[in-house]
Amino acid sequence: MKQFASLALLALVPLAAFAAPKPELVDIKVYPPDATLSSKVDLQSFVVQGTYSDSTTRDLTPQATFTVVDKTLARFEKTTLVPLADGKSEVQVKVEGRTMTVPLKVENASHIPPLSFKLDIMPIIGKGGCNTGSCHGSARGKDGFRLSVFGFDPEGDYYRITREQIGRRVNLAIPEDSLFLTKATGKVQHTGGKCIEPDGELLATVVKWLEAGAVPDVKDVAQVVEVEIYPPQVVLEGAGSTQQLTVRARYSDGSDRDVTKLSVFISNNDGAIKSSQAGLLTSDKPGEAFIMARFDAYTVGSPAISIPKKPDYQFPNVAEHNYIDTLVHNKLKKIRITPSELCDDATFLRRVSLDITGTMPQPDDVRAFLSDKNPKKREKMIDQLLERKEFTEIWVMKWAELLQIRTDNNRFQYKSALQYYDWLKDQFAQNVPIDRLVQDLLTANGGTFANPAANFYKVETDTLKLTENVAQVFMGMRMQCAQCHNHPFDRWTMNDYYSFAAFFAQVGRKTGEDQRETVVYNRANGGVRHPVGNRDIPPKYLGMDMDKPVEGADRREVLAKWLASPRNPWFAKNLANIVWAHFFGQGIVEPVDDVRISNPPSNPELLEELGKRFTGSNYDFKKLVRDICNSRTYQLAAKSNEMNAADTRNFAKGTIRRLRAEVLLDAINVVTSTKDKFRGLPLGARAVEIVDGRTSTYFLTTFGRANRDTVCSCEVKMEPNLSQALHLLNGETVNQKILSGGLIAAGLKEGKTNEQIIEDIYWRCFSRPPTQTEQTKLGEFLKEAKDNSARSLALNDMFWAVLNSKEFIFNH
Amino acid sequence: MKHIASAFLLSLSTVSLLAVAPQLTTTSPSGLQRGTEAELKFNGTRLADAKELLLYEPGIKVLELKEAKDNQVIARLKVEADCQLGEHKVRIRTATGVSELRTFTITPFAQLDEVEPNTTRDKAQKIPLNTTVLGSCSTEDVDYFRVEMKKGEPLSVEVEGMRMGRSMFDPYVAIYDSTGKTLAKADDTALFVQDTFATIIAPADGEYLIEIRESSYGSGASYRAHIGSFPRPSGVFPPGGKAGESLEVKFIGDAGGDFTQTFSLPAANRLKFGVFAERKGLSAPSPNLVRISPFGNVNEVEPNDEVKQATLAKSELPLAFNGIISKKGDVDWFRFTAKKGQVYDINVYARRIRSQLDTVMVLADADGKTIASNDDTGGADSYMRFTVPKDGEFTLKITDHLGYGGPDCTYRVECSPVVPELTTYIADTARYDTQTRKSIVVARGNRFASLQSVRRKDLPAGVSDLMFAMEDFPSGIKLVASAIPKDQTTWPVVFEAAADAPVAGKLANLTIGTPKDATASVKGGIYQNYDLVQQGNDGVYYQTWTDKIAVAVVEELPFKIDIEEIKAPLVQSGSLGVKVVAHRKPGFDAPIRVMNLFNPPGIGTTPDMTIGKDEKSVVYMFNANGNAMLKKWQIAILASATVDGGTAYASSQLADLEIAPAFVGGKIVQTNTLVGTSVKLRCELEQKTPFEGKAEVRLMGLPGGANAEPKYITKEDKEIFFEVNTTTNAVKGMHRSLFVAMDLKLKGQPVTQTFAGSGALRLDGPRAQLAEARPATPATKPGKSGK
Repeated sequence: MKQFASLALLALVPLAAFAAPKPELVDIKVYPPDATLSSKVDLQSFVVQGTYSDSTTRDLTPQATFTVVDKTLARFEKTTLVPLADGKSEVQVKVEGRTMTVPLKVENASHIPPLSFKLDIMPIIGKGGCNTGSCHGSARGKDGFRLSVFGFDPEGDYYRITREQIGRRVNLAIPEDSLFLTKATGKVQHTGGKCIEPDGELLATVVKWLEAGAVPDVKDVAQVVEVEIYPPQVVLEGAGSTQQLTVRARYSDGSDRDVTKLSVFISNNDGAIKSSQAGLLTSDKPGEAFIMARFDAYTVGSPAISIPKKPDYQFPNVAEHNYIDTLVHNKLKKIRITPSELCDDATFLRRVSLDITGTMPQPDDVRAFLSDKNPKKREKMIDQLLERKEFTEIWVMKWAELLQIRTDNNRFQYKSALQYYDWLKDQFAQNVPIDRLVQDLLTANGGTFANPAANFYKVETDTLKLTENVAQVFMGMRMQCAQCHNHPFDRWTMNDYYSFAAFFAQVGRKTGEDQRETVVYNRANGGVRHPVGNRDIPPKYLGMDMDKPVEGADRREVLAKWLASPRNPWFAKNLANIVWAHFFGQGIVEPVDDVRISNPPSNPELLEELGKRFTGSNYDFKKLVRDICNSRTYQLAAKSNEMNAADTRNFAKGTIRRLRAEVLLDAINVVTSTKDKFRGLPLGARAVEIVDGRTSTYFLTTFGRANRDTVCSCEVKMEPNLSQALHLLNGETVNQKILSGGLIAAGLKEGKTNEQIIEDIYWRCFSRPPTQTEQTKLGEFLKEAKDNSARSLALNDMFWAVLNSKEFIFNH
Repeated sequence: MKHIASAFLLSLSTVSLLAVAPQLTTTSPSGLQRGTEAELKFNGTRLADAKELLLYEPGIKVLELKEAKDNQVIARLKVEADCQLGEHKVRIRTATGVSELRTFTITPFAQLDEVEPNTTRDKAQKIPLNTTVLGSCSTEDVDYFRVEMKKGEPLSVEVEGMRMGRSMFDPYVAIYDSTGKTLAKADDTALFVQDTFATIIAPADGEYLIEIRESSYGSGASYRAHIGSFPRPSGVFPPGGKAGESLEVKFIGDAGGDFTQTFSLPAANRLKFGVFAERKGLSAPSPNLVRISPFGNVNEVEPNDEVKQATLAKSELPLAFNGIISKKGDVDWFRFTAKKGQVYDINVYARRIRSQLDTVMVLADADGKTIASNDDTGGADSYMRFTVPKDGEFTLKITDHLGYGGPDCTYRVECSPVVPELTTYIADTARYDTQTRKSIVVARGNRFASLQSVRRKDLPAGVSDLMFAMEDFPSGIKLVASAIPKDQTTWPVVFEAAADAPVAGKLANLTIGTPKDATASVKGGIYQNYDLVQQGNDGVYYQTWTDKIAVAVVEELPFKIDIEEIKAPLVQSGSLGVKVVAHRKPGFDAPIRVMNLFNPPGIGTTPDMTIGKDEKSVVYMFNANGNAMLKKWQIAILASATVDGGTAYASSQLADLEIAPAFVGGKIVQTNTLVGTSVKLRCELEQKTPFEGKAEVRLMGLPGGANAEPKYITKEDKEIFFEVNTTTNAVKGMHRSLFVAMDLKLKGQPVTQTFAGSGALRLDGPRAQLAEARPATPATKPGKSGK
């Protein structure tokens, strides 16, 4: 993500902690930072962006004047530079009383290169949208004409345009009459309507190519190696502000090219920022958008923010507990959002207990915590909770989901599931650093009974699915699209996909002596084949070149050393994001396993820092959790204020989250004093400890427990739904547990008053005493019940109502 | 292992209870202590007329059989002090049958029952050291035991679960100190597959806790846990030696340290052989397997990690190389000389003698250049056959497939000349049924038949037909079987008991070998598997093998069957009814199920038929395909009937069945017609074998709504015409499965043959519709054009 490199610029901007009446211009940048023109037809457009003290940006291109120092070399047509003669010089840009210079190089100024199908025509097909999945890029094409989706197979496309139906699609005698042009321009009936302007530049290029004979490309035609989008970040104030973008592609022969006109622009939030197909951004309502430019196999993006026009906004002076708060506040300041207040102690204790250990705090512990005068008591409590075994159990469960520990008829027996789970539990119990755990999994060899880590290769035996799982689980990436075509919203090409899959192509499996066991080993031969051209693909790290080829080594060893290491830019960030998501109900990248250019993190600096520190602590889970829980951001109240009410992505208030299925069932068991029995676990064991994804109950299934059929984070369903509500209201779980737990009966037997019993229940379920209003109202309700059996009935109903309340079911 | 079946005849009981097919389910307890006299209860059904125990292994004397009831017999047994430890196989013979084969275990230790509740650590059952605990785990049950140890004392726990051959019980064991710290834990082991063991040296005086459970908290079953200070080595080296010689071995892997012991090896035997480690008078409860070979050993000398350092065989092949892949990545090289043209089987024994190695073997030239390699031909073990290409030196390299290694990773490479192997066994009669009809039980004055399978390996070129023979059978039994030809792997063998044959039983051998006058001679006998623990699709978890078959003469049965003489041959593409006649004793009228035991190649029959309650016979149809081999075969029909609740078997005599060539071949000429009309269908005949008189021929395979009258042909006819009549409702379309069936009588017996298969007849819709579709065309007569 090199286009983010100049994000450093932001750091230079002193962020306006105290609102200045009039924002000052603090920096001006000219994009691109250098210009190379390498043929007579080469062009380069420029944009100028000013950054202001209130961290807003403005497009200063219209106000700027552009001049070439050596006027014989090139000249400007408005903001676009065109070549005249070879040589080196500088471009001078004057705006707002400042002067910036950009180095300029002109080569081959008199040469007009022949048009190439791959370099010139394919981008036009892409820009016209001809090869999208909904048009001719669909698997069967459209109306008898098929193109490779997003152009992953240019040779195939060339064949289909020029050769598949000779004399039909192209007409070399009268190029303008070629059917694929008359269709595209809407001159003849075309289901897709008009896709290219009939008198535009793009069409002219295609016609020129046809006039030249539509000859096939020479073999070593240059390939795009990088696409840059400028400016790298945009903050527009108020509706209607604009910013022009410029996109530049770099090629394998060292040349570059302004491809702004050939790129497809997409905004992921048109409500906040719209983008025209010429790359002009226009702000609308406040919000954040991510602007993507797609060119060739590449999709690049710039974050763009539309902020309300409130010149007098002032960010409050709030404490920062640690680096998390600093980075969260930086973002909030930028988007003019005020965070909520801190939550109270009772809320904090309930929240942190449920999050760290998945358990409800005991009433006595709550009382002790509330009366504790130590100003550091929250930190102390976090440390205490982290030492409980329930903390690791939560994470064993989460990893069991990621590793899909579940029985599968005759393929994966309970014995294997149990051993795999126990192995995982051991790793966490022994505090094995996550990088080592992942390396052990990826390089696992031997019998799955003797070395349960080898189950990683028994759970999924399909090489491609395994590859996708590894990318999704350990790097948070969904590579699935790139199996069949270049990923339309990410950088991944089919080459990337298959070269990553090649790491797993030599995994050997054979049935062990016990039929239930699989022996995993390195076959030391075999490969994967690219579906286009059926060529064997050597292994390569995702998005990164290998230091040396893997000849002779176990490919998985080579991969593991990179994948679970700081050299892999996604590994630590992904894990940190997963942990973050557990405590905030959503990731900085959300969903956590959908990292892609078009789904950027809501706070990249924060994610970067979390990843860095996670690596720095040798992947110490506890430390990361401690930092998160100690941050003010985590301890915010759920109550919103005027400024953050609408925000959902910037952690400006506490998030209200439904308890996940296992935790909720365990909580019900604890507060009702009842026990459940699950397979392989003693009576009274917690649902969190269930080994097998297939072991479930009606309650757990209804509340969205993952059955671990896939690695997808979406398997755990957190959304409330009607059957959940009905099950709690009418189902067996709640009512039966209230009765069989016998808490009310015991209270009555002890001679407790209604008030006392109500208070007990409130402490148990809400970790707080009832308020005066609540007591009064409940007192009214219970007044009618005179004798003990009537009281028992009424009090059980009261308990039932408490367990059905949102305050109980949600973590807040 | 020469075995003596101890037999003790129940003192003459005049109770003549007819209860065939005794069933034996278990013994309780599941085993006995060596050197003691004790009672063993045999549980089952139809055991009231029990006469003796048929014991497969020596060392146990039956003192008395008592309290014989339908569902149990109690045996008072004397287990000799030198009785072989471990698994003992047994059947019960009654006056009317032989039970299933079951196993029980002889242990060196006193046995003690587990006492529940011992499901938590604080309720652990205290037991003395060197005890065999007879326990059981219900679902999710965990059993805890406590033992008192002195510092430095070894503690071994060995659990038998799967090896008891009773149910799917995959044990797990853990040893904890008094603070709950885990000192050892084990689930599956290379030595015992699913069964497990753990050994420690007590780090301090005090109590130690032992946990035993099913490894995945599975369903309830019983186990035997040996707990004590006995040695429990995981490996033995060298893992084999020369038959009849004494062998000093080192036991490896016990927490108490390695130690040596000397054994004298018996004569070679097909069954597995093991040595029992012994220390301070305490024996391990089960053996470490060793191989017995007719040749000597070459043990590896480290370092031999490179070809230059290869351990040299000083004598010529055949011999066995023994080695240990002692650490991760260890490589062992051996060097030997051989002469051009010699052929050797090079067999690695590692997993097969319960070493954890998964060997890879490379055979190389003197410089280490690969000639051949093998990984898994012998299961996890490696195997190759090597024809020596030239005189000189060769090398062998042994490694582990996964690069594993360890002090107990022993292996043995046997380089032996190719030895012929010939065995016979009875295949399972049904899936998941390893016991039915695995004994020879012949009623007095009756017959029994067994379908024997034959395994031949590397028989000399001159060997063709093989003969079955009885060895050590009870008296009064006669074997009837023809020679089994080279190309047959199953063969019916009939046993007949004289009417006055004494009621008796034995563990005998059914040998198979070349006839006396054969040029090359080979002999083999019974080698029978019993898959005692099976689990659905997962396959077999525990099996055991015997080299004996139980044979018994039992009391008379109330029925017999015979095959009525088969006079006519079965012709190719034909069928023939074989009449099976039942003879019932008065008062016996149960239905009799009959089944053909042996289908000669190209012959098919229904699996079974029933001679009903009031019927005397049944005609069993045999069908031959067009390529059935022209040959005289012998068939046997086995009958079964329920007699007093059990299934009794009686066989027919072996009957000759001749396959003869077809009489006629032919071809039906494709014909078209319209529904509702009639057509002449021509069949060209090809006369193959002349037959006498007229044969009736019928056109078969016609679609619904079409029929043809039968015709008659003689050996002179060249063609026949069938008049096919169709109704307007006849099924339209192309019908391609017409054929002709021909019936005639040969030697008074009806014989059927079919020919002219795949004949075609096309039925079209009425012509009128075609005419309607083309009104312009003038109406024509409904006619010949089928278009």
